[in-house]
Amino acid sequence: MNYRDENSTPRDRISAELFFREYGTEIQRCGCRRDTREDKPRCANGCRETENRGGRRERTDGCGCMPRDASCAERTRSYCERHTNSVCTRSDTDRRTESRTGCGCSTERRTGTGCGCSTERHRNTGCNDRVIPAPTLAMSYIPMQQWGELMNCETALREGTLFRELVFPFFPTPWCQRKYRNL
Amino acid sequence: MNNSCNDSRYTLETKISALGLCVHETALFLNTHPHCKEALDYFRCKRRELFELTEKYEEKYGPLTAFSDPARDCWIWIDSPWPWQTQDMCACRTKR
Repeated sequence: MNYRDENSTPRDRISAELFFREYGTEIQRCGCRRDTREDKPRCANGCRETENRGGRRERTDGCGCMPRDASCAERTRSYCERHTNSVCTRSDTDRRTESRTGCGCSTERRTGTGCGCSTERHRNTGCNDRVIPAPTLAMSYIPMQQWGELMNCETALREGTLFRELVFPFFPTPWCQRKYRNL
Repeated sequence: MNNSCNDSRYTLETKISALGLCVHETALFLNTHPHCKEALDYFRCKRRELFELTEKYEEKYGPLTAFSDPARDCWIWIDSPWPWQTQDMCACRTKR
């Protein structure tokens, strides 16, 4: 963890690998997860991962390009000309500066119908950063808030928060709930 | 005249409170999302509105906080009604 990385959020500093390492899944630099137990070609040219050198995975022929996650069809890396059709398109600069969610997708990709990423975790379900697929025992997790639906200022003052998803009225009795609804 | 003046003052105070809450909430969000463009745009917009409204209020009714008292000839902060007093004046008028 690099605490001096000014572009990282507290969420980024806690690497997703910390959550997934022992369960046989790893986070690729493009943010997509893949199961390392699967042995399948990573790139259209048939390159395979041989070893992990400082976080980079290399092909057997030493081209130095990051192999493609077969399940990540829409993400190709721009610097890899030999794999323009098969690797992640997001450049290193984009990944550093764009807003990161827990899945690694930029907020622009997150639409009502999905984030655009074809990984199983996100396919047609939107960016579900709230789900930790392999949670570690005895640890608590807090979903990362996203910039979502806002209320107008007067309503926000009445409800006590600007974000509609953070309104949690407490009803100790059913009568209280009915009274609240009648307001 | 006096009642409408109090209503206007109370309305302005309410709007300033509401804007202040929005700005604070957005600042808290930006603490954990420093690169969120939507939040940054929203923060700048609401902060500008808050400053403008606060300036408008203070021109008309005097300082909103002790810190914004001009402190030139005398200390006028203690002369104007307290915020809860303006609200009470409006509430009494409504009940009649």
